[in-house]
Amino acid sequence: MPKPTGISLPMARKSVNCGCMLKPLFRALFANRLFLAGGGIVVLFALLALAAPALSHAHILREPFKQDQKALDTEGMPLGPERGYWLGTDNLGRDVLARVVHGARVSLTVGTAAMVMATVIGVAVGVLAGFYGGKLDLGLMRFTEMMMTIPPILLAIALASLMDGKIIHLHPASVHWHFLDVELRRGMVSLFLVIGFVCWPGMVRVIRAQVLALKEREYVQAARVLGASNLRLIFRHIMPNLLPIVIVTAAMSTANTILLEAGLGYLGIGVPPPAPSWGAMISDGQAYFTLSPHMVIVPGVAICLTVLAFNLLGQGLQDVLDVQQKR
Amino acid sequence: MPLRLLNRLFWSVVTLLGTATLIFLLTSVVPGDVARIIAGPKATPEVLQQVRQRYHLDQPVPVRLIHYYGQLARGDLGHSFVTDQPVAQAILTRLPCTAALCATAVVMWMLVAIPAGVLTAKYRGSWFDRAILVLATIGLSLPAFWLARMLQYSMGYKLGWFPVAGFRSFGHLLLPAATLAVLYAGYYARLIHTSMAEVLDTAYVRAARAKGQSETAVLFRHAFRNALIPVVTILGMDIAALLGGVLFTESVFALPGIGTLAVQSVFNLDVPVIMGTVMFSATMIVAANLLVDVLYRRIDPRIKAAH
Amino acid sequence: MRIPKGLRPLRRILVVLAVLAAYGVAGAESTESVKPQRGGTLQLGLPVDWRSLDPAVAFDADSVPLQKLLFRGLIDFDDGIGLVPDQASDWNISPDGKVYTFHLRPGVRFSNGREVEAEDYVFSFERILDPKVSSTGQTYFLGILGASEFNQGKAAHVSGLRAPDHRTFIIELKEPQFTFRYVLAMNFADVLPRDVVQQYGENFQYHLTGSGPYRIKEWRRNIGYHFERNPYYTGADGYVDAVDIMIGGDRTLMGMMLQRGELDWITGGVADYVRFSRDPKLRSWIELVNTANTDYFFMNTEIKPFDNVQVRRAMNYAINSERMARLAGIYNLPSHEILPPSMPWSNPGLPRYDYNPEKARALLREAGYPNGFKTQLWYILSREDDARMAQGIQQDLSEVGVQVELKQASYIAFQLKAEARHQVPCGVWGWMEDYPDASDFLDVLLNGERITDTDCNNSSFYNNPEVNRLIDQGNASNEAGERTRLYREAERLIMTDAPWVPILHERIPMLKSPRLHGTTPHPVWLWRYQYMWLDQSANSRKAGG
Repeated sequence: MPKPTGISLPMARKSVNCGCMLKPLFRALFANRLFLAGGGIVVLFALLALAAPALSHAHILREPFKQDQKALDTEGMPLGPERGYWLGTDNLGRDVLARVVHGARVSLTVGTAAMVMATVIGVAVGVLAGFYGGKLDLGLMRFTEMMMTIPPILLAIALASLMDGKIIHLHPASVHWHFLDVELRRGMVSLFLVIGFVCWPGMVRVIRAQVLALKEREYVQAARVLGASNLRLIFRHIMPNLLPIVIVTAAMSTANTILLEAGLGYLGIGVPPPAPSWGAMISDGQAYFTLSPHMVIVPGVAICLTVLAFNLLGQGLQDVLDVQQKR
Repeated sequence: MPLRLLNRLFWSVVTLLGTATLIFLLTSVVPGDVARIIAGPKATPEVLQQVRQRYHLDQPVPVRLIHYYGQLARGDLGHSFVTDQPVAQAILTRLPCTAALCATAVVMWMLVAIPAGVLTAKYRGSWFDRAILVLATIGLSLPAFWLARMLQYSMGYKLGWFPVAGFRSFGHLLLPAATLAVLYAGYYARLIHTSMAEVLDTAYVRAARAKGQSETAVLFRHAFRNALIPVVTILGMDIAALLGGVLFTESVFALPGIGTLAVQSVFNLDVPVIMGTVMFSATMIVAANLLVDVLYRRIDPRIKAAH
Repeated sequence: MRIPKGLRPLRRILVVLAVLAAYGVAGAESTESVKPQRGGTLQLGLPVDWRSLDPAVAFDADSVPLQKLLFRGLIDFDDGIGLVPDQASDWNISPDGKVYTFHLRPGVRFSNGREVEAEDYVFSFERILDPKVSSTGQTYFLGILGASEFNQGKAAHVSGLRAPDHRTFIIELKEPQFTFRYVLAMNFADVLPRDVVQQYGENFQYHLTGSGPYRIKEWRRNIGYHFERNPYYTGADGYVDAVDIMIGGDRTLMGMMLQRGELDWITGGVADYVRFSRDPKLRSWIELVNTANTDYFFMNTEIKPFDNVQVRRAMNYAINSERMARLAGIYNLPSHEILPPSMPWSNPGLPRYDYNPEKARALLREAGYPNGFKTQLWYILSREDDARMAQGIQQDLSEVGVQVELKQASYIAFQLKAEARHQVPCGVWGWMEDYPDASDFLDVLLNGERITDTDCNNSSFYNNPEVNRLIDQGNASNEAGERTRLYREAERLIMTDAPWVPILHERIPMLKSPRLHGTTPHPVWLWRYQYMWLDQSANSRKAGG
């Protein structure tokens, strides 16, 4: 099967997104079992996440926030999986199935947004460092190294725990530009910002290495000789050829961001209650674990499946796009 | 000392300073009046003033930053807001536990990863190879806190094969180490596989085969050692990161390590401890990078030969 | 007192044992005909550590029973609420009620070998009043003659504390105070060696020395303690040879460890309590302990819309205390009053706000909030029960149109905010009795005259001059019947004004391993480790899960 990246001179002058190259690519992808498995699960969960509010509205799925006194047993303990409640209830009488499905919204949204943010920043830094080289490269890489010395989970915890509603004034005290006030409140936005901020350094090295390799390719040299400006080189030649590796890295890093989101939720510093977050569900369920293990097992399985799906997806993409990933 | 090493050392220190600055700036956005949090709710204004002076709280941020550098240079990571214990002491008391846990975990997963990696490299494309790949991916997809709880419940509580929690004996580390091992074993198996596969293809190995050496000799004497080099690099970095806090595992098994310290400090908003743990991990990582770099140059015959 | 960091504060009950029986102290061991065995190591587990076990500083339900192992004082409670001499051989009170004279028992030694002297008691009491030590128990000792002067730095010593010889200790009060004798049984009145304290100063917490049956062998902060026997202790109590305390881990974890024999005595979690009570083999492991506490939802009467009494009453009707109590733990008692039932102050005339969302909505409409309103509810992050109650309240209030945003804070941050003016519109909190008197709740928490801008225990900032007057009169009176009447009326007015929604009175489900005996609860100390013993015969070891 033809490999689509940077093959021969005439083809590479156009960008990768050319119809004639996509068909064999897709055929290769859909033949890859890992890609199918991972991609299938991702699509399924994404659809469920998108449809969740509609499903609840149409009463196909219950409300995730409804605390039903009757959904607890006689001593006020959660119900296990049974006919009425397929995955049981939690300690407040809420339907676990509904919460898990709605929780997918939170995890997928935060995970994807964080991944996008990390990718954008990571690519920007990697391209700038790799392309321009010299002092800029040195400076940017040193900064990235600094960020990488901090274990991501610790940094994420440190940052997320600061989000307690305090208002930071980005303007000097004398100037009352209150639109420059930032309120650090807990929520999906501050969460994905924190996770994205923590994850971008991991992408830089890979991107930069690829950019360095691409810089030396004949067609890039040729374009330069022909008088193309730096910007044109970057946007027309380098970036499009980065696409494969970016896609693979993006898929794998989504797995990471979702794990981080679950971890932060578990520690109680993710999205605030009563929002259904898988990590928080596990944490809530711990107190009832020996009596109602489903409260912990179910969201855990959900996390595993989602993260696994993204990892498989990335693995499949990597196989097909034959991108070499070195740490 | 060779110039190269000095250069690396210098940049390592700079990196650490940069990390310290980053952390300091981020956490100077601390909620509430820090002095009150330290002194306690019943403190008199005089005590509050004393605390402010002691921690330089009424100074502008750049001045406080310089003070912080000075502190770090002396090895003083500050005092916990909650217990007033020196952070450095808290970390050092807990280091043995975390270190023992990590060491046990590494041994466990290497015991699994090395044979798996070598064999899958030799029998590339087989069902065994594919199976290991899938297992590795599954291992990386498990949330640590969940896996820890599952293992604790099944093997510790229900089956009684291992102690449930605490650190009363070495045996108490086995289950937590196993948790970490499950997470990383597959990944390292794949790393070794990739590394071995590359090496097995090189001219160097082909030459050894041509010379008539047995397969085992080829595998172990030539390929393996070379394949291990990049793996050691990554292992070095992973260990340092692990030491920084195997937060979830330690917390679930109630082990008195650095991870539990970090988690507790989050709940108490104990900023000096949070900062201290981060600085400690950062130092470990930088040190590990340095060490790996030095070792790399010594053991990699190709680089040695270049000199 | 406030419930710090997920630990429970000391509770004192001046209760007739019949009241205890009425509330069902499950598992009371009446068949203790078996002789206690000496030996073994008691394994305990606690969720968080303290700043220090120094008796001047530590003051909560988890640490006080442990302090009783390390420190002792003049008098103690017997198996009930009567006072008996402990390390004093006898004591008497002068006819005017102002002078207390104690004779110390000879042969009582600290864990470092030195004999306890009366001067040590003078030193220890003065230490509580020392402004530099900032002891939580200061207020209880201010009734001593010369205490305020010493506390304010105007005098070098407290004139009312005297040691005419090594064996005699005299306390003189400014005025007769009936409740002072109970103060003498509290942990603040335990004796410390003056030479050791002076030697170590601030570091005394790392060298704690007392006259109790045990001493600290090892303390690793936030990790654990190990107590060993005090070789110089001459009392008969203290059966186990050592006490090992593990710190950290949640209740589920401790439940698992208990069943595996890794721990002997723990606070049970909500689910574990249910699980154990359902299993006939495990039911006997439960020891349910009453406390004199009230957990409540408070509303800041200075922040809109809680300044409107109709709104506050609406909240009372909207919140289902029965459901909230169950959410916090099925063993808890739902509450419709301020004072816990264990206090001898039952009040039949209180207005009742039974769960009635319809009425709540009607009241809100009357008050001018037909579409409800938005507010923030604060609670302490580390207290699981509060977290569940907060979510439950959020749900109940949303059904009457009130949108609640939940705000979590660490214990310290929460305390700072809730005790400051105009900060917290409403929240979930609790209070446990310091000593058996209604003033401990009403005066401290709801007297408008005690309001300050910060550090205010009256987190509702509730100020009703009539109530204030009743409480002050009650405090001043010495006659039991009159005090009861005044406090009852005050409670009635408070419930009418409804600055709180009382939610529950807490009970603690303790779980014990089958080899542990002597765990009968005590009305004042909750439980007494010094009377617990372990059955060391082989077949009692594990009961499995």
